[in-house]
Amino acid sequence: MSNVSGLDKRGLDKRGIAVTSGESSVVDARTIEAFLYREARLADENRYDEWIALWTDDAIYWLPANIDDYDPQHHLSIIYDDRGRLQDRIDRLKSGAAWAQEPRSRMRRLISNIEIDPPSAGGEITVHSNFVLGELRRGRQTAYFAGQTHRLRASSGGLKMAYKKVMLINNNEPIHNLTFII
Amino acid sequence: MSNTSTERRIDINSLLRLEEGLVHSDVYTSPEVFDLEMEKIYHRGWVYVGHESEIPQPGDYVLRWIGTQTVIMSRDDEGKLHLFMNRCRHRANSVCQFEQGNSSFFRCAYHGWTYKNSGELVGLPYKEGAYRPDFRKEDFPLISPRMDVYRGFIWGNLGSNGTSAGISLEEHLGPTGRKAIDHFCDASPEGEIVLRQGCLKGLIYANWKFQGGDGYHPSFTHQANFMYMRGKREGNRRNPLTISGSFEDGFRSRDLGHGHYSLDMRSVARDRLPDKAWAREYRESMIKAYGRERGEFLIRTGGNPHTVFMPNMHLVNFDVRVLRPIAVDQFEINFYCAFLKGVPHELNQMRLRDTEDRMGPSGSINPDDVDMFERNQFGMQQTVHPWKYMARGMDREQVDDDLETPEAYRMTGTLAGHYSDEVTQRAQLRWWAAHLSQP
Repeated sequence: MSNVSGLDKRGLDKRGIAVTSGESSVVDARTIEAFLYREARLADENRYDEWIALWTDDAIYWLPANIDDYDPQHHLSIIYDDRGRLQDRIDRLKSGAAWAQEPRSRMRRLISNIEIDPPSAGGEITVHSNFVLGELRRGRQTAYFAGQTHRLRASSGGLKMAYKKVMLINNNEPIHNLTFII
Repeated sequence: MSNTSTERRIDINSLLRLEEGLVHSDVYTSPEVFDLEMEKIYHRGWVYVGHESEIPQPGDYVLRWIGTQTVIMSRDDEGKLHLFMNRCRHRANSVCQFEQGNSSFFRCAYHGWTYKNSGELVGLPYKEGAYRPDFRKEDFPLISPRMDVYRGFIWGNLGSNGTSAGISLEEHLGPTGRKAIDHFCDASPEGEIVLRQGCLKGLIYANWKFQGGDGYHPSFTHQANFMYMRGKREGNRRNPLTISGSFEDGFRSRDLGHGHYSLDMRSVARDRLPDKAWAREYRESMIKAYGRERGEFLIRTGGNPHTVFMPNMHLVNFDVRVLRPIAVDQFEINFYCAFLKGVPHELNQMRLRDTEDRMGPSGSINPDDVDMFERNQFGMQQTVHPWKYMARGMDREQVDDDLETPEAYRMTGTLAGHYSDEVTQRAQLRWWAAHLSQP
């Protein structure tokens, strides 16, 4: 399907199919949702290697600090990782000596309000969603609330994340420990 | 509880046996000690508030903390700096609700009393006939505590001149503390830093006196970094795991006086700038601004004095850290990345990524420190043998004149030990005991 007319504002056609422009790839909305749920489950269960395998090589993983949007070359971020920094993060967590995750956090997150943008040039799928994350570590249970944006790309190995931005509602408040995968 | 009864209940000198290197856990766990600290350290004496560059334009303000109280740091319409208690003179509502902004006035929303950004009361609704004839608006400005500035860093002091808080900011920082600030700022060829890049905010469930400056911990607390991250990327070239622990290896811990202390890696710091055009441009501008000896020192050390200022400010690596005590077992710390004026953007970008990489709640360094502070707070809850042991290096510390360092940044006459020695902890505790013992 190359004709993008007749889509609703979320980029879904009448059958609920998300369409990417130009390319032949047609990704079902359920496939996109399933990807988000799988990513959440791997993060929740601290399955680091499987989680990082979801990323493309040109990954950008961004948690803005203070406000939700700005130029990250001129403003601090809680996280602004490229693939190399992301790999460092994962290697550190796996080392057994990243003390802020020894013991590790137990987590479950609920994802909802999924909205898929209309198809854009380049074949990337942009998905917005909200999540609530319950996190428990050493007797302290914390709830996090956030909006997030994913940019996904279809590849022979299924969908991959090229970009993930997490906008915590408390990103301008003091935060205790965000060393798990958020 | 009156102050007098607090003092009667706590004998500060019984909590420290520093000649044996012993420190009682109550120093960190007693709510009465915390109340006394707020009274005698944070609510009188110099406390860091913010930096001039955070409020560059007339009307700019930020809301900050001095101990448990909020203060407004404001630049008035004429460009003059002010510090105000965030409290209406009428019925004490806070007059500023936003962390930062630009405003000509602070208006109390309760009854409409309105103050200029220079503090004068200018609006008082329904005033006619309501007050005695001798009432003058001029007598009701926002309250300005003492304020002083060094190299753009602004400190406030809620005490009055007549008390022990009466020393000047210059005295409080001391000659070596001022040199540490000079060192940090002089990484810019213009000698100026800018703190307008946002900040990372951390929350720590431990006592505020855990401020790092401990040269013994990196190999263990940050083991994961040195073994897996930095090692991988930089070929282990500056891995503290390779520090010998001998006094001669050049790593120093220093007591700068007034409770300030430094973990001094300056003599062993190596130039980490890449071989790029922008780095060469920066090098040239620094040598031009400061001459070869100082310029090369500043480049090699990255302008990092690695210094902790009591009670609440650190200049470490590329960031300014600001601490806010909340309770005996809780404090906040904010990390502001300092951009340098007059340098290629690539250098500032490197500082930005480095600060993110290490600090804040998702960083690779700070969260492991936080976990150690919290394990410490947890451990101190046991009361069977409540003494901590901080005697490391007591027999080898010595007064040192730091002769290898250019004179402008030389830590002349400081008590120094090996990097791993607990010189810094003892410096903080001696200062702390002296302040808490004051009337």
